[in-house]
Amino acid sequence: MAETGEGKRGRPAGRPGLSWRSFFQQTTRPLFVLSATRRLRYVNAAWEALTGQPAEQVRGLVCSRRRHSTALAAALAPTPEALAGRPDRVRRPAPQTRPGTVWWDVSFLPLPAPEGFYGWLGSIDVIGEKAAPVVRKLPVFLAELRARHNQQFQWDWLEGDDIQLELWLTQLRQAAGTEVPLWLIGPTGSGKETTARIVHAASSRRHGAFVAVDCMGLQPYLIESLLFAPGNVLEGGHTGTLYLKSPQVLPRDLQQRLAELCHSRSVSVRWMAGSEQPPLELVQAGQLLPELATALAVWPVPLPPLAARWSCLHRWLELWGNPLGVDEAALAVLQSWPWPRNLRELRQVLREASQHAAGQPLRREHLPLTLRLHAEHASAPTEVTLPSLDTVLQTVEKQMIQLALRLCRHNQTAAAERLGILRNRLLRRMEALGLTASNTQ
Amino acid sequence: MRLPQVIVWEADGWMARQLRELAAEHRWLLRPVRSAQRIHQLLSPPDVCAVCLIQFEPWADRREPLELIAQLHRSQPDVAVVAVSDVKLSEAERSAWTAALFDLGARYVLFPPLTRPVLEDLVSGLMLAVIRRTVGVDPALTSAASQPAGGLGHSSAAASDHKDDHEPIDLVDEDEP
Repeated sequence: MAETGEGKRGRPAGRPGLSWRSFFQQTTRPLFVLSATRRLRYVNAAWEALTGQPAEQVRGLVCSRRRHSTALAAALAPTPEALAGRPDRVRRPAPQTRPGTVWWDVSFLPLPAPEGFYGWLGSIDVIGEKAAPVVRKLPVFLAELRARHNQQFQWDWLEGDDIQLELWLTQLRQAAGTEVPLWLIGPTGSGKETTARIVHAASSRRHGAFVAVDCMGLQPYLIESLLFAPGNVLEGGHTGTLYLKSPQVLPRDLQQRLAELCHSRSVSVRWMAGSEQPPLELVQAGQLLPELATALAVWPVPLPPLAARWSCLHRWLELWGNPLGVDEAALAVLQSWPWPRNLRELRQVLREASQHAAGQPLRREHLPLTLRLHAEHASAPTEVTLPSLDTVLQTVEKQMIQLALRLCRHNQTAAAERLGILRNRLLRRMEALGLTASNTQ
Repeated sequence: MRLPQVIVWEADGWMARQLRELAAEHRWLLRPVRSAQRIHQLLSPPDVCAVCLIQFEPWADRREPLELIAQLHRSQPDVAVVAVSDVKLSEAERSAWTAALFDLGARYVLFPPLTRPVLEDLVSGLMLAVIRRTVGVDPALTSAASQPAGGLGHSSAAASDHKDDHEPIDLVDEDEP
């Protein structure tokens, strides 16, 4: 515009009145002026605020959509219609934002002159709503694979003949019919994650993914990246259930963020968690933030011990390699072991034993030696006949007197001194115990 | 218990090179492999502690890595599987793939930028958690997590007798075609 003979501050030479620059400067609409050579000649304050670019830095920028052009230059480039001298409007992605998040509607008003062309007056309207990103669908075989994989997580995995087990199952079935956050309590290896998967597979969220977050094995920044960063696993509604393993080990600030996320309406996901101790104990121990406990431990469900689940053994054997079952002797061995690592340990043992069995039903000799020995000790008679105390004391006394006499070369006075008694008492005890000079030598 | 293993199934050996020092420091076996069958062989002992890194290619019609992740989750739920891709995806695609792979049983899914510190943090954290769960002891409390611990009736002497097992193997793949 400066080339067209305007005066200072945007006022045409010799023409009094309001400067066009100050007029444009006060409007809240982002405006810009391009010269006939498509160079940026002027931007107003609203434009600077929108783009974050000061006018001094962008003045002279050639606005075109060539390969080497910046995103800003491409966004402000006149359309072919505008180049032809006609007003036009175009929607373009805003520069310096993630693709598909914010768009600009850019309007171009050509400024024709009696002899030639001054340039264009442009304005920008920000389109607030997010444009739908172009997402390719996941391959069909992946969906089939997921469906096949999730089929194994069925209720029959947990079913048994025990009444305690039935009550527990009823509780879980009810939990599957709701969206209430579930907290599973059980020792390590007791099958908390598998139980959570089964509940997920039976819930209305089963079409979404089951995402298990190992809070103990993952660094907090990796969990933050997984749950809070752009492109996180909770975006797009792909996740059906989010299961947090031992969330009490997380730093308190991350626990606070998770508690806020649980209450956030922008996230639609079923929450589950699992730990060895009840959440209340974890709160009292200062490990778990009360806010997170309140958000996640709405329905705490303790898992029954392995001892109460032996009726599930045949189902587990099917899953872990031996559908032919187990004989009674082997079952007795299995039941006698305390299983400190629960189902995880049982699975290891059954897997290995099934390999030894080589297609035969599981027998006692297929089980590890440690288990068999433990079972033998457990089944040994517990009644032990103890010798009488007098007999034990007399035996000890006799041996001590004999030792003292030997050490003192059968000098009875010296032996009595060594034993800390008088000689007469030594003689009396020797007589009572049947010790003579001959049989002590 | 046998020595913990870091199993890497990838095309170019980049991840194995990044993890070489970490494995040597902790005395873990680094196992670069070229086939799913080899991974099954390595994981066939019942009490093995392992972290398995599997490279996958989104959109490529290569089902084997994804099927392997699901198989491992079914047969070896204690093995921590990390799915790694070197393909850059949009945020929405990344979210969809991450959810799908977690659903198959992956413990974590990594997309670019892939850096050595992230790989090391991921593998070391998951390995210590796997050892804690499988062996039942906290590796931080023991002098070396890789020292064989007593298993259920399985002699640990076999592991200690073989001094070669204590040496991190060379990155040259043993099942090189």
